[in-house]
Amino acid sequence: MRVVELGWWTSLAVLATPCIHAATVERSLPATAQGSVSIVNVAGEVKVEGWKQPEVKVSADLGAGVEKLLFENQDDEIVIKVVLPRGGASSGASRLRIRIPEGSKLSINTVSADQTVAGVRGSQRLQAVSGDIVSEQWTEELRIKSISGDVVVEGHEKPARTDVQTVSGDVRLEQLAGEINLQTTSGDMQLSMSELARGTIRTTNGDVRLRTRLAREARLEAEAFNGDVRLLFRDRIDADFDIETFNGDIESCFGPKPVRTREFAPGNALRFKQGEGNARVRVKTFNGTVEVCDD
Amino acid sequence: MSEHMPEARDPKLANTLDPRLPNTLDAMLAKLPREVQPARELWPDIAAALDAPRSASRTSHAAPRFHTGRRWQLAAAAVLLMTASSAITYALMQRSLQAQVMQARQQTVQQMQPVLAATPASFGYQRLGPEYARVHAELDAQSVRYLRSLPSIERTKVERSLADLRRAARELSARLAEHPSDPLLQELLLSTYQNEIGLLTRVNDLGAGLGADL
Repeated sequence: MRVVELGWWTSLAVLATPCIHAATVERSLPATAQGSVSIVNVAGEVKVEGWKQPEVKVSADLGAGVEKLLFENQDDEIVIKVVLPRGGASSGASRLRIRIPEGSKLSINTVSADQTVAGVRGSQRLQAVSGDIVSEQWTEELRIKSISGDVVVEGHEKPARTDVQTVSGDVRLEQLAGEINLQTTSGDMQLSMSELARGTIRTTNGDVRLRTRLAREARLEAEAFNGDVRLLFRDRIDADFDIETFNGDIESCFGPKPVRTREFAPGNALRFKQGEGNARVRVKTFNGTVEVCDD
Repeated sequence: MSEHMPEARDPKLANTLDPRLPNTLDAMLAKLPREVQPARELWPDIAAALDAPRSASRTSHAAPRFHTGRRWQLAAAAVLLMTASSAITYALMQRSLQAQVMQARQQTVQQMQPVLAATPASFGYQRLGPEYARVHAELDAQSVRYLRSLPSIERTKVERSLADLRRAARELSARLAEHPSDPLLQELLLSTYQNEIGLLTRVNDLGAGLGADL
């Protein structure tokens, strides 16, 4: 009798916990045109789309083990957060589809959840541990930090600042313009820009491939340890080149031949001016090969 | 005067230089003629020359302007002289300062040479000072704690990347020991240390941010 009673009370306690067993939630809140929206989701997926309505609308498929979906306005910031119980074993993989005013400032934090952002014209700060990040950039700043997730950004050839840092994730940026600051340890980077004004690229083992036109006073610095750096320049090239590698090769489609820099050690350098030399391109590698060509 | 020279070679005068006469300057001077008549009358030309500027100044109105212009020219010349003198002084001072800086630099290098020679050829991050070592150790310990909470696949990726960076730093450090004054190696090593710190910070930021948010 006592065993039966204990089992009954245990069942009642389990049912009383606030965890959700896979539920779909739809909610909305009024929002300002250029307000801030912050989204947090551990696992699953986050899809954000900009629209012209002054409203934030959430449609969520909440995973098992989720405590609740927090959706509220905190100090002029709309917060959307999938809350997991402390010490819970479940990742609470949830799928969020969110519509926000297109001028919003957007911030997303995820662990393994993938992020997809489209049509948001305000600034974006996107962070993920292993989730992939796909976004679209207009004219405002875009900052992405990821550990192992891949990053894909499509721009609209409008000058803006783009800052991407990954550890092992690959980076692909298309149709950007303006300023880039990229850093990876072992991820590869593939970049296509209509025009580059300022650029800093650092990698340890990743390869870099950049296709762009250089702005008149452009400044580009690329540095790699083992990674190869390939730069393809469109249109008339008017730049001062300073390329050096300790152990790698230098291949250039224009300018003079590289020269050896050390008598008793490997090393090549290539320094020359193409056109009037208004822009500056500086590339340094340890083992990586550097290739500079016109596109 | 050139007109008087032929007369100095006059035979009469030449006789006075006869070596048989007393060879004293006084005696020779005493024999010189008291007067020498010029070949033509010189005064009319001299008087005309003296008179010319005076009459010109009386008739010309451009003269005062000439004098004013000349004053300006003199003033400009004075300014130019002062400027040039200042510039030369400055250049000399600069050269002197540069020489002093070069000398001080050479002295410093000379003073450091025995120390460098006595120091083991290591360029590990410990060489960047105790503060750097402390920050590095703190970030490293923090990242280890955070990495433990990551799924094993992600943890392995981060650990592999950290290992790549540290291997790069070791290799650069070893090459720098062979080529201590190589600026490319110095720059790459510094960047690698910065990248390592950056990676640790990024991992910790993500950990802290997610820990607070999730």
